[in-house]
Amino acid sequence: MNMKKRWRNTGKTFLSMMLTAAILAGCGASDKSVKTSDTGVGTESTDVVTLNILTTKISSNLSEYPDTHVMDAMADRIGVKINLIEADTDKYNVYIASGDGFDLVLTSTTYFDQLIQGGVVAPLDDMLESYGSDIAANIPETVAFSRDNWSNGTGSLYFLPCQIGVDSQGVYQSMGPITRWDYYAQMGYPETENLDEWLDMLGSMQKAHPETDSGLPVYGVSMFSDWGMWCYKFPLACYYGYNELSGAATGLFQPSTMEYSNLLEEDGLFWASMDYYFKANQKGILDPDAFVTNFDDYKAKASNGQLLTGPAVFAMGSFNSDHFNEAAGYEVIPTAWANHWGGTDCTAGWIDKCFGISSKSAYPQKAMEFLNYIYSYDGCRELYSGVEGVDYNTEDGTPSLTQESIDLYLENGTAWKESGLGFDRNIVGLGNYVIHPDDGKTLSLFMDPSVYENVLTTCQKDFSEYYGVKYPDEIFARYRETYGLSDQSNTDAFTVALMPAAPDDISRIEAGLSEYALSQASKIILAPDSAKFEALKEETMKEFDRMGIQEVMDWYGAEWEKAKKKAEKYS
Amino acid sequence: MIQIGRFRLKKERFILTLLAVPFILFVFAFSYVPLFGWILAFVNYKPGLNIWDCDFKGLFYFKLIFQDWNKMASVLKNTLAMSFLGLVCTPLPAIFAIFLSELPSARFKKVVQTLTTIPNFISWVIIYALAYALFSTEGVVNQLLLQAGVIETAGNILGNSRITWVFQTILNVWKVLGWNAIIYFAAIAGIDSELYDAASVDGAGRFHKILHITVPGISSTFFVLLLLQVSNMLSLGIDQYLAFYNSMVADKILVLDLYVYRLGLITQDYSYATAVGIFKSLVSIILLFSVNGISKKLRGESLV
Repeated sequence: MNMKKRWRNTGKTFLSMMLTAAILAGCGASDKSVKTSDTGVGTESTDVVTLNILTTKISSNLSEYPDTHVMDAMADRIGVKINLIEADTDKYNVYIASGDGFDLVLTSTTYFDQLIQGGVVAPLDDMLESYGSDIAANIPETVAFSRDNWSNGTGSLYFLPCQIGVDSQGVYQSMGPITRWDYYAQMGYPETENLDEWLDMLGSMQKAHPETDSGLPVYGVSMFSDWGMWCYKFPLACYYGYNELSGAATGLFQPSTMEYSNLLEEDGLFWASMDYYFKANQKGILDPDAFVTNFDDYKAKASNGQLLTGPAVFAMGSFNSDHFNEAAGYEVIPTAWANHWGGTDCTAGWIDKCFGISSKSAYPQKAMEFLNYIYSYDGCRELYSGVEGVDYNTEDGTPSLTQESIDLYLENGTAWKESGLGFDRNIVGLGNYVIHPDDGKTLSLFMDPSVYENVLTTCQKDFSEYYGVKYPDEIFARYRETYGLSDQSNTDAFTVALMPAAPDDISRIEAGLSEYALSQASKIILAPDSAKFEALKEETMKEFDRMGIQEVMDWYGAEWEKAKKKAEKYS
Repeated sequence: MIQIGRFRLKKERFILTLLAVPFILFVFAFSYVPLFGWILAFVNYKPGLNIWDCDFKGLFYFKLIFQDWNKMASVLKNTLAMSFLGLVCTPLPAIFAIFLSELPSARFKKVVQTLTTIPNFISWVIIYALAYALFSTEGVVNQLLLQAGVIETAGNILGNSRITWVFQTILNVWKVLGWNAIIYFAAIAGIDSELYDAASVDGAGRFHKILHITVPGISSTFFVLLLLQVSNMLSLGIDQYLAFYNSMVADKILVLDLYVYRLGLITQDYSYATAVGIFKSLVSIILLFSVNGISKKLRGESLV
């Protein structure tokens, strides 16, 4: 064999061995892992560490703009920066199944038992004593509740929910009967007595404004199709005073009475929604593309000013921020018939966003210090309101935002996101309306009523002037008193938190029911007349019965009553 | 010679065998090891729990597949209908490749080939956005037809359940035509050019050369791909149908993979989803061996 051939063969052998080695290395475990610990309180680096937080998709600004001066301030204070791993459900479950690759997990009550049983999360009791003084001092009821009910019967502390404290709508209502304030004003602020009149008003508005300035068609009512049943559940939930049970496909409750309700039952919210969209179609104001538009296209339409109403201000694209210096904007109109969103008692926090520390985290102590920081008043103030002396100043013990911070908030653009101010609420332990005991101001200074007048858009100023209030939300409080409307302040947070996740057989029936309801929705809404609407309703209800809706309602009804009884201990 | 146990291999053959090792490992790691996951279909699996700690459920999830037979029948009908339309369109990439190879300009051929291959790399989400811009009532197509007076009111193709099967098939053909033609370009390039020269000498025209040389030359490739496609009839994937799913076409677009996704994966019923996956694999194997047997009898050629 000549030299050239020998080299060629040696090369081949080397190449194949390298490939084999590369694949074997890829299949094996990484040797980069640092130490693994169960509760792992031990010596850890004093350098700044980055903690990976696993979460389902929350579309956080933190994912887009992770390096902010607020994050730097947190790093200076506790030596921690965070990196969000926003995963879709499948990817999230793969992480959960491996138990690796994250230091903290943001999870829901549905996962608690399996995470504890599988040893994916570590008990926090020992670390709470050593590094959790603020948690123990500020949220003792939640800690006790978590130990009692979220420990798979072990009595240990595993999970802490974010956003503990009373919620509020703040400056303005974000859900309710929304419309274009400028058009509404042009029509002479017509009062409506019910949903039918509201649709009539939208019809008149559409007639007056059939096209946008750029010639695009304007629609009274539209929807988006890629959020499943969302458009048949939430837009009218607020009007009728419902809220959903966390993680349930069809389970609802009425905060004002704390009664259970099912979305799909005969007089349920689904049918109220069907009626609403059916009437909109009959009046000729339903967007012909309502069933094929996805959320991004929906927001684009709203941003163009093509929609006259919508389910929430956040769904109306960039229209309000694009016109914040004009009297044009989407606003929730106070009415005598629509109930109000917000005001929920969140003593048990957001139960679908609860923190647990991974039992395989290399930095359990740092993870605990981070949790302690996000449940401390000063930590939350920093995350929501920024750095003292930079974003806000304190004089005579009273903090106030700088004009630059207020301007950023008002513009609500890229600069606001880059600033890191108004930290993602999913990652903060205490709610932004919680009062700081040292200065009596809300943790988020942007949510302090004294600031409201300074953060109003031109449209909101116009709105407030018309109703004779300092800021829009004030009028809704008056309407509640005058017309006996409700918000969600009667919610018993512990009852809601104690509702167990539906077992597999019930979930399966619910999934089938939702799937069928979704496929029927377009037929019902586009029915040519009321008689056909009623016939389709009857047909659909019969199929719901065949599929087992009663079984679902019985299960939820029984568990709801049990939860209410159990919650008495904490109320 | 190299001795490994009872086997004696020439050094060169040993090196060649060694070269195959990474790929054998690859197939083993990504095609056989995941079969271990089939165990999920027999237990009530919850992410985070050790498989051995999950409740054993036997064939429960397999029975569940056929529990709501009305729904499953409708889903299978959609799946088979669109698969059948896909099978009908199987010759298109071959025809496209043949015609394109006949073009005299090499540069033009490359441009067309590139342009037709690009859609394969566009995600279905983007394609939906394009389809919405084109076919919604405000879309370009409706506006042009309205302006030209061809239609009086804008149509809603994306929400028209009567044309869902055909529309989805057309979209899929548009997306994969260029990509699927690549293998036929390779097959055509492999045909001995002397055959064409000989045919020209015998007075064959372009059409005759296609019919008697090119088509027979790529027919074995065509039938191999056809057999594989038949065996995959139940596996249409999720992406396309998820992107185009809406209430108006729900009854026609719900294919098996999407049904499993919506009822199994969204509710995290992984055991059920795995059982359906096993069911699909079994059907695929049966279909593969059936069409393979038919091909063997009719054409004397087969895959296995």
